[in-house]
Amino acid sequence: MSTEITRVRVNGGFLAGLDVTFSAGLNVIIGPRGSGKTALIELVRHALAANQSSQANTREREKYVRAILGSGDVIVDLSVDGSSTQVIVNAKGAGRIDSTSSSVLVLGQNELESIAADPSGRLDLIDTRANVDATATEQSTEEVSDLTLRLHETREALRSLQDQLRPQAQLIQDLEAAEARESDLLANESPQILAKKDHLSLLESQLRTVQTDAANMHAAVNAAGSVSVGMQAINRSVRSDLTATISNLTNPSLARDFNLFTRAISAASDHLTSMQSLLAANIAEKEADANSIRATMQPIREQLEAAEHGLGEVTARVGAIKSSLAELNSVKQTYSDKTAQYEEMRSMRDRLLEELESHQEKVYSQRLSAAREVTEHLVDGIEVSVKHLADTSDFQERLQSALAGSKLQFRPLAERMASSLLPRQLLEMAENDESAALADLLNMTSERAARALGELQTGEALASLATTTLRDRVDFLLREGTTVKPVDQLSTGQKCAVTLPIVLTEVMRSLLLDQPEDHLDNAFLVHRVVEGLVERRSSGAQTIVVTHNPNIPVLGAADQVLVFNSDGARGKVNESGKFDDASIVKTITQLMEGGRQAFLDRAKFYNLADSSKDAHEF
Amino acid sequence: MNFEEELGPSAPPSRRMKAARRLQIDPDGITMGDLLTALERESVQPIRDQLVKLMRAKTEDKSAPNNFVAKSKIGLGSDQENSQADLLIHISELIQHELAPAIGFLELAATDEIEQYETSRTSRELASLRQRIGGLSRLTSAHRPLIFDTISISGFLQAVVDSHDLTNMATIENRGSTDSPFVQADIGLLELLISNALRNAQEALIRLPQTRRSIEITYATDSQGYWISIVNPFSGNEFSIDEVDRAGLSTKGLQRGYGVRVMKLLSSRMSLSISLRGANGVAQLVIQKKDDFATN
Repeated sequence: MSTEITRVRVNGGFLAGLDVTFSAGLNVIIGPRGSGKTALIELVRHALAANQSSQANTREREKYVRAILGSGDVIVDLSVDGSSTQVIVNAKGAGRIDSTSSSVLVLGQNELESIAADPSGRLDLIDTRANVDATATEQSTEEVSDLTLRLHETREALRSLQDQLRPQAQLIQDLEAAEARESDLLANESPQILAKKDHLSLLESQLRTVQTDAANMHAAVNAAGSVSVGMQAINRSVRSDLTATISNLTNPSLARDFNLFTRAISAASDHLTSMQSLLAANIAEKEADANSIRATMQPIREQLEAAEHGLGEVTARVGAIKSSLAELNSVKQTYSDKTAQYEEMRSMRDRLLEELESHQEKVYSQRLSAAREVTEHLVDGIEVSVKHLADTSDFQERLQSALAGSKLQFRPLAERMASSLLPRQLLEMAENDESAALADLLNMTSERAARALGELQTGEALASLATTTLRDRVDFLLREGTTVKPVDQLSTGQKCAVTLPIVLTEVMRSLLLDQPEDHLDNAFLVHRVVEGLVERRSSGAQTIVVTHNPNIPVLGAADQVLVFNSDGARGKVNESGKFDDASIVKTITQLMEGGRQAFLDRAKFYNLADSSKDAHEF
Repeated sequence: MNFEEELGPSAPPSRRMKAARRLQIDPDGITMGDLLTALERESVQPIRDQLVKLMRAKTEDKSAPNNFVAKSKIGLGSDQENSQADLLIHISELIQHELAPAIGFLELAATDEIEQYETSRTSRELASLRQRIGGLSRLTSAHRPLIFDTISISGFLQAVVDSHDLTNMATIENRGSTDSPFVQADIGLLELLISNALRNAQEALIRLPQTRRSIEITYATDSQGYWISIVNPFSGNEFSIDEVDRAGLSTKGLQRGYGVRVMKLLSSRMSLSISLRGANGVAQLVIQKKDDFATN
């Protein structure tokens, strides 16, 4: 995408009546202090909602824009890949369109230093160059969080089911013993008694079936209850959030769809209520059946007890154990179903995590290519470095927050974990309770590792781990003799000297610079900055520079120079033209060189042999 | 293990980490060559840490009975070690004795068969072969007492650059404040060190397009000593001197063939500090002398 600002108009405020057109190449804005040069740059930034290199001063900028624009509008005409776009924006920002925010790069006074000092600023700069979409994975991240919570809940449920299944082996042994005792007691009984025993067994079997049905229905009632709570939340959200917003809109198709949507929700709620009533009635029916079967069984059991002492009791015991085992079989089935669900959710989450990782790998590769391309174009020992997944700050913060309640020394522990592990690796260790592996990796005792993992095994901590992403870290390095200095070890001037050439090589966006000469020496400005500006023009990139340094318009051979002036109440453009137009040359001489005499005096001081001849030509 | 699937560039980091962890338990599950390839490609630090740990485990295992020669080269002193040094010197003389005539015959044949032999690539390659054999001899004498001469560092660097036929590719710049960059150094050993560094830079440049082939040599001297920096672009991921040093034990390749062990040995003999880093497509080797040898 190639963007160019073609025209800017201002209605109202300090620059009321301003109407300037910009050239496709190098535009230089000059003028005395307070004439509105910076105001123009800030109004363009405001109108295009241009990405900030730093969020710190956003509020002050907004205040400044309100002061200089008042109740007026700023109108910016853009050409994006040859198509024209116009935005008309007031001081509050009404009228902005999202698509323009990344079309220009605006660097106000002192922002070069802040872009270098801020890791996000450096990353954003390379991301624009690499054409990276940082928001592409947001939806998958939400899904991962939701699935991780559900996996945690399912694991807890499976643990509880395992506890319930624990007596099964003992019950089977008890049943074998009770049945053996029952066989002994029945060994010498008459055929009538044996027939009664068979009848009793049949009734017990029927009772178990009825009880299992009732238990399943109770489970269905509980599940429907949870769904009902969810439905109520949806209904509340629709009433409070959606209805008012949609009813303000006049689109008939939208209204029709919304109507269908609310009716479907209402119908779904009605069906759910009806299902719950039906289940309640069926449960009552099953309970009545069970009572009736029990009532039939009781006299038979008494008859068996009368025929042989202890037979009634042991038969009842066999029935009770079988009933418990039948319940456990149902639990076992539930366990098996939940295990299958767990595996399915797990593989779904693993797939999403792999997709997220693959996306990050692709982004890294894009960033690396962009960084290498920039490095190749730079001189003076400047390197752009991209460290893969090296920004562990978010990971470390999340770990600190999860471990804070423990009695472990959580800060150094969090730091160690964040620098030695990957978030997904730690997530899986926590989910699978692999404290021995953690102990080995961090060279700590298994007791401490188990305690640390314990703190990370809550649903909230796991969901947080699952959605932790390590970011790539971009650094600007300066090679000086035997050392390579990272950006945070550079002086303000060095930071600017490192960052500006990088910014200048970014040719896809229109670049607006406010006094880039601050903190830079003239030699650097002439050899590097002016050279970069000229190269930008050759690449077809637009640059708009506010400056007080004559080298920029003159040696940069500006396609257009705009001369600002002000009467104190209002700023305006006095004249405009190419850098070598006679009137522009005169203005540059007066305004930027301090006048002809000052220029001649300097030339004399430097012993420039033919300086007077050159100077006379102004 | 399926190397490409588990440690290849298309495997996501968590899978690569799992594979690296699994290999800690079974270091024989990967060959040294594959491990070096994985390390060369790997850009995520915690995974690199695991791979380096693995490499350490593998090299330590193998250093047991058969690798004593590489170890005993460093730190001579005992009778046994001195006799080994004598043996090395003898072998190197033997190599020179046997190979010099063969190279001479080759040169003679090439002069007859190749028109403009002096400017041909064959001539340059033969010169390089001679130089390497000479280097072998000088390497063995790394254990002799140091012989210091006062040299002009710029003239010395220019001569080494010229001898490698790198005049058009390499720039030499004085970054120091003094205009009289004379230092005291053992010319033979320093030449061998710089030659190795330049040869490695040259090899790294082969894989790059013509437009990117450049070597930037800078130096500075002061009353405390001197430093020399050699910077060249390379194609590959990042590496550090320790990793390359280990890699250099067993194999030659792009950044594997830095001959770092030799350069470290030479630096150690001359009390020079040496550092090598590769990142962001740029490799930099720095040797530094900090003492009162330099003269102004």
